[in-house]
Amino acid sequence: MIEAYYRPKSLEDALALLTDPAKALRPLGGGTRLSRTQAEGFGVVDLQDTGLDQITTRGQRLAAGAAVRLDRLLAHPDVHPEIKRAIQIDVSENLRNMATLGGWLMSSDGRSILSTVLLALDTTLTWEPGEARVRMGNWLPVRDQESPGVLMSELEWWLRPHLVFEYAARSPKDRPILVVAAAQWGSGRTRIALGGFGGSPVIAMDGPEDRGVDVAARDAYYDAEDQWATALYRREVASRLALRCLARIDAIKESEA
Amino acid sequence: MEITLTINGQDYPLRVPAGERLLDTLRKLGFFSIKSGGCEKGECGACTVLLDGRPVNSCTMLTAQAQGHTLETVEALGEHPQHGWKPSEGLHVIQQAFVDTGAIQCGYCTPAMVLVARALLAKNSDPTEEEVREALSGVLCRCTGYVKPVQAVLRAAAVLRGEKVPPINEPIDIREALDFSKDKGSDGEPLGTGGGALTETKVFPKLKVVDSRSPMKTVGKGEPKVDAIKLVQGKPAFTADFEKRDMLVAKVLHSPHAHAMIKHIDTSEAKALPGVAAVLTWQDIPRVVYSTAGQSHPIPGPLDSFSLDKKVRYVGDRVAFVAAETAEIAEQALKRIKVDYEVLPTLIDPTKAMAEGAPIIHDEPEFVNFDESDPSRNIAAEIRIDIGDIEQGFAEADQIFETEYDVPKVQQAHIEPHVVVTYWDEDDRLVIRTSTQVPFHVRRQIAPVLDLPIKRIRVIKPRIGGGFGGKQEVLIEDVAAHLTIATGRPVIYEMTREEEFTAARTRHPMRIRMKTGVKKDGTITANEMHCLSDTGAYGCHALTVAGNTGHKSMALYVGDGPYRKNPNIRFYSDVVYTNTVPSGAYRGYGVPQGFWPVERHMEDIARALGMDPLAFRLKNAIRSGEVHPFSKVWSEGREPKPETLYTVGLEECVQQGRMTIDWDHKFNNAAWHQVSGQKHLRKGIGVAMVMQGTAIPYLDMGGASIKMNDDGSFNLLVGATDLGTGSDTVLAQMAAETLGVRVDDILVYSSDTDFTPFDKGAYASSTTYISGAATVKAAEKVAERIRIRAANMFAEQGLEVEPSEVLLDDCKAIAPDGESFSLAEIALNALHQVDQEQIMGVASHMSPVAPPPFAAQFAEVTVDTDSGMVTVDKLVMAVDSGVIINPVTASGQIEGGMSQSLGYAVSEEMVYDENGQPREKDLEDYHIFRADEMPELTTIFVETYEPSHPFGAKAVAEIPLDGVAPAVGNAILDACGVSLTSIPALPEKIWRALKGVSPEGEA
Repeated sequence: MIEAYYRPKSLEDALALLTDPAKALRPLGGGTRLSRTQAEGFGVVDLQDTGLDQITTRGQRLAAGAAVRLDRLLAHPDVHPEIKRAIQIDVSENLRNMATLGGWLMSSDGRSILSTVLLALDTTLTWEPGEARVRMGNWLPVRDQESPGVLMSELEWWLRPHLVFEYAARSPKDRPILVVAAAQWGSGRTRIALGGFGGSPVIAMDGPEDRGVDVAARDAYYDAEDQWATALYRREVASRLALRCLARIDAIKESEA
Repeated sequence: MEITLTINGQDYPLRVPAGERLLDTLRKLGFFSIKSGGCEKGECGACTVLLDGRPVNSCTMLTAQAQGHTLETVEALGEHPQHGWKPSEGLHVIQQAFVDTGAIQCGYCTPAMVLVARALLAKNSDPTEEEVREALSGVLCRCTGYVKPVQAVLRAAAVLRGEKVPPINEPIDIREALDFSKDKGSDGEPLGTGGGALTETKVFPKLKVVDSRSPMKTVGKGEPKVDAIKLVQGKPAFTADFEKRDMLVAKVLHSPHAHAMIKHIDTSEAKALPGVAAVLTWQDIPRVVYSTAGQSHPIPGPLDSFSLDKKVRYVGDRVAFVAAETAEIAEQALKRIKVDYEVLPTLIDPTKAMAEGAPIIHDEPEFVNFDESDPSRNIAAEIRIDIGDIEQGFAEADQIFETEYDVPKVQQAHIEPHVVVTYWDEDDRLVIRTSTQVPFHVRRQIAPVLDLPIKRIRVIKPRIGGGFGGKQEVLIEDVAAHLTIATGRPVIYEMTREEEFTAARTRHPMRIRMKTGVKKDGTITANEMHCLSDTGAYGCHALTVAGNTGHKSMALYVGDGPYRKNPNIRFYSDVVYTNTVPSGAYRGYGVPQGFWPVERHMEDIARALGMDPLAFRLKNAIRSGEVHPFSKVWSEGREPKPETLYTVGLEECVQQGRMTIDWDHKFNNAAWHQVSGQKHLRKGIGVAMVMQGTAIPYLDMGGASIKMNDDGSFNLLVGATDLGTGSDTVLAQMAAETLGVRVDDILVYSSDTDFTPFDKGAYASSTTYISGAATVKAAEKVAERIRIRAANMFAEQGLEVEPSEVLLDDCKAIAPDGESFSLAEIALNALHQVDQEQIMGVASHMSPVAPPPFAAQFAEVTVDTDSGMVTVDKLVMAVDSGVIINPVTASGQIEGGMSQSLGYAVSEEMVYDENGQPREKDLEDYHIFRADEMPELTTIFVETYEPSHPFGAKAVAEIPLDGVAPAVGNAILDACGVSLTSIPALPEKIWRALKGVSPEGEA
């Protein structure tokens, strides 16, 4: 039960509250996790006035504050259409008007297309205090065990890579049982992320070229079995969808040539 | 903490707990347009509020977060157009559009949708249909299929842009698809409203004209719903929108075990918690066995339930009730109840539950058998029906087809949870204000449970936020009532969304074996169904749901030639107890379960015989003038009576449906099945033919009372229960038609066991037919008194007129020469002037027949052959429901029903592990379709005139649930060759079939 509420006016004030060991406070970032927690006796720090809601382009990367709402991301011209499509599938209108990017990353599980796509883009997270920069792929596996800071302040990802995703679900806007997201840089670097299973999406491949994506996808989900789908299904279809992602990227590149 | 909220332009200084949700604060302040769907993750959106103009969910937001922002609710929009001497601005354009288009069914999510529309149109005055659907994606609606809400938003946008919009309630009499985008105004400019491809409703010309010499004034017209104006304003019309001083909040402790004995319960810590008013266990209340199934007397099923018991039979079963000053305290108290369980073996598989030596789920000595129930074998019901000579029929067949099918457990998922308020009134009578489909059954069935005589209980049914059968159950009234008896105080109990999944009711899952004999020419010689139905932990609706499975789905195909007169049909069913949440009533009531196997089976047979699937079905389908085969042998445990079917519009439904979906172009057209540039995608088209029932013959009864007021208006009191279907409206239309008045001259009140006549309630697709006939009878009595009085009044003026010559029309009594009295004049004469009398009529109706509606349902799908994912692109339903009293509300029923059934086809199921722990506990995992992922829906009414109803109507509410799943299954077969035997059509099932990988769980 939430017993205290703070709304600091700056990031510094927020950090002062969140690092105060006597207060046992948690950031209220706009996800929906806190409101459903059954834990007793804690306080929250509302980040809506801390200025963490800016979207800026830095060269070939786009930086979004952790408190950027998903609806603003959807409306931003520099946000990749596949990221927007991911948001539209994952999050209904009402929720995207509340949920923040940081809150979503903190509360979503492996069955999020948006998180899978951001992982494919090799998104970097900035944590406070100390502006510690951590690759999303390094943070996700230990998300529930250790934190690089008390507060995620920013996410940054590459603008230029070709990005596509494919997924399987019971209906077009259902939570997916399998997501394959592929990002390919101009250098040929190819990064495949898989979602639709477990506590968080995973990296299947990050290599200088795209050969072997099907095998990598199959291997990454070799044991991905739960009540929603078997590992056999996930690994075989992931392999196939990874190839389809590459084919789509090739088609995009061809159309750009 | 102290904060100030700005709501609808007004500041509200408040002191609120830091953890209070905005939803709770707003409702405490009286903003009852903000509804709760009982969810905790913002899945349903019923609690939508505008925050700085953006729709957000108030259930996942702290009140404190809203400080410094502007909040807007529907209360800030329009108002009723008549507010006495004070000028009224009337409804807001968006609200009016929702009323006009029929976008409001139960109305529970309507305020949220109106707010979403307001936010969208504020930033985009000319949205596309796709943008409207995207905007509505955060508000789940289980009633409408989103068709009419989308139309409403597009219509409102057009009005706000100053454009002309087409009329809504004009009779539509066309053969072309109704496409608003193609409509032209008189000046040649496009009419700027309506939907695009996804929002069609078509009404085809009547096959039989009701009475061309005296066309109807209100029957057959798309009259606005009589409750629309209050619902679109978010008025406090629902059960929980009710305040009572000193009201306690109830919570229930549920079992964590699927099967266990309660060895000991210690409630002392819970009782000691400040703010706790009562804690009740099985030791505290009378032990009365009963059935929770809301059905007529005697209950056609076993009595096997107790309010609280010392044994729990599923995860979610009741262990204890708590009443406390607040919900938070009640929840804390639940955690302090210590229960010592002796865990028993769990039965999840109904086959194992029937096996010799299986643990017995109902070993209580109070168990009362009904018919063939046998708790010693975990059998809740058993049905054995033989029509003709099935073995002879198989012997005469050239080929026999045999397949086993499965249908899953699914949930009604009405957006308003089960909710009840109980209190003692000033006469110490127990008042039960409850969201129920069966108020009179509630009163009768709960009385012995509470040790109160029926006459000391009053049940009030306010508006209902959807029911779909889930509220044809005496499910929660006892919880609050016991606590009111214990404390003497008012109590409210509202289920959470999780409780809806773990402790309410579901559709019966079934395993069904079909065996069908056919001749080479496609004549069915014998048709057999063995049905294993899983009733879960209690036998509510066990017999009747399973009976309906056979009674409807196995009656459609009687065979051709001599078999028409003497069909060979067998329907056997075992209904078995397991340790899962109880099954119960769910719209369709067993029939969707039956038509999945029947229609998948017929498709496979037709293809195996090389016959056209439509022709094969029509060759064998029952026809007008033939006897319903089951009517001779079965009637829910009562004496059967043969029933001839006089209206069967199935062939015309097929004709209209195939034309609309362009069947002849697509079926067997290899090129159409391809998707250009997408080799992994395959398109398919499928069909299913279905029939339902209209009420239960010789059983269902409804009453109506009509009285005339001073101004010539009428009060229509009915016990019928409008749960969002629009039944109050069609009853008013029928009364208005009979009395020659406008619909708004009929003031409908339903229902209250103290004030309205008895009605068995809203189930079995019966209200328009049964309660409608009662209403017409009562109206005819009133009309007769009006005619007699009018004749006397004419006589006083020297005009000799026979009462039978007086025409009631246009709110007047009109003599043959055109002289007339207004009904207001007649009312004043009757009430105040001459031979004073209260002109009124009371009537009831029970039907000896249950004329089935028929339908042809078509589906188009796209299958991703790499992943097995199915996308349903289009659903078309051509339905013969007799004369359509209100095409707007009726098409809303079809659209909403198709949407629910779409989930049944592809996404919805409830899964349990080996310990009986449920997988689905919320509307994330249990996915129901959003507005932005719906296929195109088209409704076609093929009207017949059913002679057993005063206006020729048959049922419409349940039949749309029957054929979507098999039509989708058949379309999948057509697309990629996969012959599914189970639903939902999960990607992995299809992928396994495509790749030749054995089904999950098999070697």
